[in-house]
Amino acid sequence: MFNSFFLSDILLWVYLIASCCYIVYMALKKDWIGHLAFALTVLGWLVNTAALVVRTIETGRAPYANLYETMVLLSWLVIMGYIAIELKYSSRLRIVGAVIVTLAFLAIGAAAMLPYRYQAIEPLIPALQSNWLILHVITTFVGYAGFAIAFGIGIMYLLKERSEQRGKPSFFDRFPSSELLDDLNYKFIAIGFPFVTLGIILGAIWANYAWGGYWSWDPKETWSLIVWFIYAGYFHGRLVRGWRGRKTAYFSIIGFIAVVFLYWGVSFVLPGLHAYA
Amino acid sequence: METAAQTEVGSRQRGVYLKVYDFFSSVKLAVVVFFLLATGSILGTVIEQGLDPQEYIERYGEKWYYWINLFNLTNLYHSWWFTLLLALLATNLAVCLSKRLPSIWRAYYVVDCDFTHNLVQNLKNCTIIKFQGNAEEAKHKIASLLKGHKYKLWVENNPPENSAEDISIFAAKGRIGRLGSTITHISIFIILTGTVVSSAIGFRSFYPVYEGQPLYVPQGDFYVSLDKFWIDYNENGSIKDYFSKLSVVDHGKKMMTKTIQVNDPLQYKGFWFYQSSYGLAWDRVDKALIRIIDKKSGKIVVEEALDFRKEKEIKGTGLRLNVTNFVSHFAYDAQRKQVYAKSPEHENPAVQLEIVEDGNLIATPWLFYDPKLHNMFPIEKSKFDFILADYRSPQYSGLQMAKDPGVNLVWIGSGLLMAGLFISFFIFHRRLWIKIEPSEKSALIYLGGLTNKDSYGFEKELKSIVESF
Repeated sequence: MFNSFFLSDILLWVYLIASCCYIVYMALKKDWIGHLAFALTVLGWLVNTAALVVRTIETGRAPYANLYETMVLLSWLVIMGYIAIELKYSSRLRIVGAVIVTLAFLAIGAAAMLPYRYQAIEPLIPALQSNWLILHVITTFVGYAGFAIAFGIGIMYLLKERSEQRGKPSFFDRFPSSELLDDLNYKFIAIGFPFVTLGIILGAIWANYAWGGYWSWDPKETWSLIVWFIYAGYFHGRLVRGWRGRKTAYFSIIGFIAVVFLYWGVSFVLPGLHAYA
Repeated sequence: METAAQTEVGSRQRGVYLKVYDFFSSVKLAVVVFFLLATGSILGTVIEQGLDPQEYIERYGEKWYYWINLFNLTNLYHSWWFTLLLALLATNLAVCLSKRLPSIWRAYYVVDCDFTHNLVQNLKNCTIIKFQGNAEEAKHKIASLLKGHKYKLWVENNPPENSAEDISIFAAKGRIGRLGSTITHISIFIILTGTVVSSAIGFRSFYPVYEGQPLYVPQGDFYVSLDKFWIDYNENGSIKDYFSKLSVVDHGKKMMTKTIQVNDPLQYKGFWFYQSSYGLAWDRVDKALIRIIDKKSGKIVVEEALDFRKEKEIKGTGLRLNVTNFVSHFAYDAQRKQVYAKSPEHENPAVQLEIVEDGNLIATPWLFYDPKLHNMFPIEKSKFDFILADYRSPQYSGLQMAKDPGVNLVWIGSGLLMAGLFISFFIFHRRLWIKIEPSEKSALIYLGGLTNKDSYGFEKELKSIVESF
């Protein structure tokens, strides 16, 4: 009973309840609800950690060799990023959890709805039997997690900016100032980008070792490059041309949509060498 | 007059030159090229690459195929326009870098101790502090404080004729952060160069290799032989891994032996040999079992197991038979009048049989393994019918061979890229300008600064510095 699927079912509920608490916190603006929401998030993260550990024991290898496993890893990283925000900014930015924890809930929910063959524990195929798997996947997913958090904050920015312009009391009053959100958005993309870059480079090194070429224009590779171009465009706009606010928020949303396609779309729609995940 | 005209031409030329220069050095161009490269790449994942023309015509129709072909969309990533975009990116990169380098260097290098308190007051983060103590004490306090924040200090006591005996302090840290973007851009240039080298002199090719039939590598003038190929299975019957034991023979000498598998290639003289796949041969058999039937009686005369391309005399029939060819998936190219294997799958296997009867070569028919196609073309001149009853194809080990000197440039570029990104995202160049003006028994401190990134963190740091007074 105490297997990884059971744990991720529990996880789904914990994240769901936590994210509901955040919404209630937003509406009622009572501090104790915020504390409860955060406590539940930390609990969720612990269950998430346990799910990864149990999966490692079950499979006897690093637990991210298929779509289901990587989703559990992604939500773990995203929530860890959120807890890091909480630690760094004390509880001033707690409300960011309303979006981030919801994202983690959606991730676990989507993983739970995958067809069984994307969840099952299968022996690694020869192409994946390599230590590069660990490095390549971890770095890539730290990058994805950074982009996911930036996406959530980008959405918050757009909501907050609108309510600031109206100047009336609103549902989003608890959100941090748009200026702070803008800064945070940049920071998470600045974490995501080097990691995704490193993930691509490690993938290239591995490909060169396993397939005999560092770049084959396989759909996954191509889409990772597309994502890279989008965020590279973002940095040029922001750092050189001074884009701020709404423009960069939209960029972080478009960028993340491309990430979702890179991660899920390519696996399901476009055939290629990366067919396994 | 002449000189005036000349200068006019000269300035017009300079004007054109400047325009071209501005075009190639603009960040807008970079963002547009990113956009075009991304869009082009998406197109390349939507239209499947490298299929037969016939396949595209079936999918998109004649009319669209014209455009697909015109823009090389079947091999998009190596098309002229994609290459052009990459070249544009490289040019943009180089010109932009050369334009910005002097100012980056100045920001990195310059120590600025010659300033007035007005300059400090004009900075966004300026604070004025009243210090209880004389200027020297203020200086020591600031110095120890900033050193605690890891700043490097340059102090100048201004000469007395300059109004009052004020002290200027310039402090900076993380100035290497300025070079991050430069390193990043140089690294991209190196990676692009590496890919050019790869496509110019690197190569990759696939070989099916059979046990006992060494592969000659002409580019390196040596042989690789497959000593053994085997497969390991999981308990559930799925494939766990497959292995090839390879030996390298260079000018008659055995240089090395290694068992390779996926993710563990063999390396010799800059050539890499990868375990890429395995399968049954599509162009040869070990043995073919030929059933010979007497036409009159309809009885089987004999079943003979023939070796590939080894003529054999069939006793008591006056026949000499030779299996000369095999295809795993029979297809006929009407233009070149040639039989070929449509795919490596054993979909419709057939052998070609050379039949010599009573000393005369009478026919070379193709015999199909599929019972429905048995005896498709009876041989009129012969007393016999011939049927392919069975065959056995050898297993090949699919080896990918590659040599790519460009790869090292790509790795160097990648390493620099990571260093550059790290430096530019996580090391911030923070500069402080501090003026200490002594007044009676106390001193006025003007403190202000600039940072190239992370203004939020910088403000926080400044606040904690000011609070220490």
